[in-house]
Amino acid sequence: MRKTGKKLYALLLAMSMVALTACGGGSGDAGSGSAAGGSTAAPAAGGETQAQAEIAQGASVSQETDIVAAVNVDFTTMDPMDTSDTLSGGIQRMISDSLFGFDDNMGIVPMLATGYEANDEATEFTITLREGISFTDGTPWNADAALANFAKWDDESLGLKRTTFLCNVLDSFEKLDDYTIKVKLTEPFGAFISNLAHPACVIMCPKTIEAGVEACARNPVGTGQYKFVEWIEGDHLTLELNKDWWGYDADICGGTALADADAGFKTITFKPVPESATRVAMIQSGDAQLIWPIPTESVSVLESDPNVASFQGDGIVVRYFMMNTQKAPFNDVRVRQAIDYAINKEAYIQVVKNGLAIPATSIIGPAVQYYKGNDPRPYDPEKAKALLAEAGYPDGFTTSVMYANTTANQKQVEFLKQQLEQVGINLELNGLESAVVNQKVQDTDAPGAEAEVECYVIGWSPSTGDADWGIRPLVAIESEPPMSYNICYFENEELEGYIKTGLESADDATRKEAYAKAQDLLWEETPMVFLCVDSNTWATGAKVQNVKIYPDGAINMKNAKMAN
Amino acid sequence: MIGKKKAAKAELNEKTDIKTPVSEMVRKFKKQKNSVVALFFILFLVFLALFGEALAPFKINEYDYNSILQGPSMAHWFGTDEFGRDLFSRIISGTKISLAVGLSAVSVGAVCGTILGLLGGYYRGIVDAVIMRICDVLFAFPGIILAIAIVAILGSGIGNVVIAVSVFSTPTFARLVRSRTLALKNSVFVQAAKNLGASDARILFRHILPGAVPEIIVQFTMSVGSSILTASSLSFLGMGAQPPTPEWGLLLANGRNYMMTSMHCTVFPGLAIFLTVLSFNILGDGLRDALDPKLTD
Repeated sequence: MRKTGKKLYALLLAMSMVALTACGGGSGDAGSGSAAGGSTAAPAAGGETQAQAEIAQGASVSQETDIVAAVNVDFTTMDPMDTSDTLSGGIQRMISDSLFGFDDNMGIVPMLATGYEANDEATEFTITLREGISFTDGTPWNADAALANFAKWDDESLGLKRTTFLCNVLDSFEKLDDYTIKVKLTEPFGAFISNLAHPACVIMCPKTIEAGVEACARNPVGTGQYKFVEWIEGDHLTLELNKDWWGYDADICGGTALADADAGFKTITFKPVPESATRVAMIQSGDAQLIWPIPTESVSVLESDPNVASFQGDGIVVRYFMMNTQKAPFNDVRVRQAIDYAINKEAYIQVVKNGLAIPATSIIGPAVQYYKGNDPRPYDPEKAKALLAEAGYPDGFTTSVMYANTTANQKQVEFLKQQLEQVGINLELNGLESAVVNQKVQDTDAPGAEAEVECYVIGWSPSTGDADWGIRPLVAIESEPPMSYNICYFENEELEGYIKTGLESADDATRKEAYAKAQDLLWEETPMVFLCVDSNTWATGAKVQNVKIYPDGAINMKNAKMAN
Repeated sequence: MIGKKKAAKAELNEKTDIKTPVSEMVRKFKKQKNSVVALFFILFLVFLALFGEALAPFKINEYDYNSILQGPSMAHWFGTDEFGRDLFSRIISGTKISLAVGLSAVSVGAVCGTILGLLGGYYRGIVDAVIMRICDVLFAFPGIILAIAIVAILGSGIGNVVIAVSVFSTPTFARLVRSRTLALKNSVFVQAAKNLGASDARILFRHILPGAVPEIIVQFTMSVGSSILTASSLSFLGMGAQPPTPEWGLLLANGRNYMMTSMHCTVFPGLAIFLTVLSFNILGDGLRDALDPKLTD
């Protein structure tokens, strides 16, 4: 009896510890296209790791030029194909480059490639590679290295999180000469080049790939501006400036260098600090020289601090209030439009986002390729009531919203509840732990009409920068759970046509027109209320300059400098 | 309620001028000025719990987006929160939740613990061993960890918090009552009752239990304070009451996000919890001194 009792309670204790750890998780702010990053990695136990961490910390403190960056969640992996959070993706983009990359405004620019040619059907792409580049371990960058990466992306057996991203469209790839490769796709895919610019397609050294997935995840080698030094899970990740980066060499870049080699610092140490207030305190005390994101509540505090510069930049994370369009009453477009009229977006931005967002004018943000804005519906509760009455709900109705109970989400749904109350809709708040929400909402193959979810709040960041990844995963029929995030269970044949056209064409004008029509249709049909486009926020110490956050939320330290 | 009864009895006793244990207790208790103040504060809280929501100047969920996070003013005595809701109204409306959770959880714990303690102490043997070993295991956990574990299993919500707090307050009562039972079991009057053929139930509840009542009352009062604190902590961690309930721990958790800019959002809910828990503890102290026969004037 005594023994079993003890065992039982030992189990209870263990569970409670798990619960505590879950509480400590990051507030998972941006449920990005790569869905929210909660802190998953527990600090490694064991004296040895601890000792290592201490030594490493001691070393980093002694370097005066070191930049300490405090971020909100821990890193998950250094393998781009296995990454589902923006933060790790951002670090990977510093360690290595991809064939194509983004400029500061999410425009596509060639990086390790110099250009491409596609056939009209968008099924064959010939990509020319940049010459004179080598990985930081000395391995040369050439067609063989590129093919090694393509082989990894196409290898389903590795079981990486992003494998489905490309392996379904990749048919074959071959080397034409040392610096040219030809890729054949199984089906027309107009967004292929944008997808190559997605952080999942960051190039890794063929030797690392050969060494296996564990090496890719823990010890990445790339061609990038920064070299990976070490990563102690839960404590810090250190990068060192790569003085020999090809981007500093104007000849290799084809004219002008991508950045100035004299950065004024040698290493950057990233520390996961989930507690927002602690990050703010760190930058104010000088313990960190860079923090992001800034909790919206603390923006005014940092703005008034002369030793800290705080910034705000355009983002591409759009926030949605999704409605299950297969279930009554949301199967009636008038009800969905009524809800759109009933939510005051200006007040939403002021109250929930502390002013750090802009009203959404489409399903995708303005920085995403092929964006086309629409006029937001004005806040008009009377009109909302009239539409509800027309749809047969003069006294409103009761529905429930499911959400992962992070601080940010909580505030958001409370606001929505208050707004909908005004038009007689009772929104029940069903906040759950994020893993449970995922299980209930995402991991279900029930058809829309039988799915448990009625309403859902989500943020989406299309990290390819292309309209396809901002629309298809959210509203295409193929994306209904468990495949992707069409939690609206929205099914519209006309829209499917536009998505298909956009996907299958490599022609810019055709794609633009298809996506414009798709966005107009979605605006009219309102499968979800488009709430706002988040702004990115970050702050630097007075000495650090030119740090930016990409619109998708990843860090951009290409031109970072530290004044002495 | 208890206070009222005592006061009434005390009045009666003074008139007839007979020294009963109760009158003796009231006399001793009155000397503890702190405890008397605490008692009145608790009575005030009970009043707020019953009528607070009706008296509050604003409705608990009445928002005003034009006055978000404003400091204390004439219109909003405790300031406003992140939705422009009146914090004063929310705090006094939250009184009943905290008191109800504290009192109900400890009541359940006290009843279960007392019965278990009586059984264990009276029958000894295997019954006693089983009960006390379970209690030992429960004692081995810090209360809050145990409560978190229980809520993690049952799911969040105020009802489950009550269950969790009841479970962890049970062993204290069980151990306390058991030790009194052991002492009283061999006393002459219990032996006499036994010899007269009284049933076990009668002996336990009519003869032994009254002897343990003073200890139970003191422990009860002390536990209410810590239970309110635990319930608030669980809500603070997001495992108890769910928004927009104006539970104090939840108000504190919300306010934490604005601590740097709007301190009033944490200070006032914090004060409410602090004063309530303090009052129950001081009252418990006073009662212990008043009820302990070993302490003389």
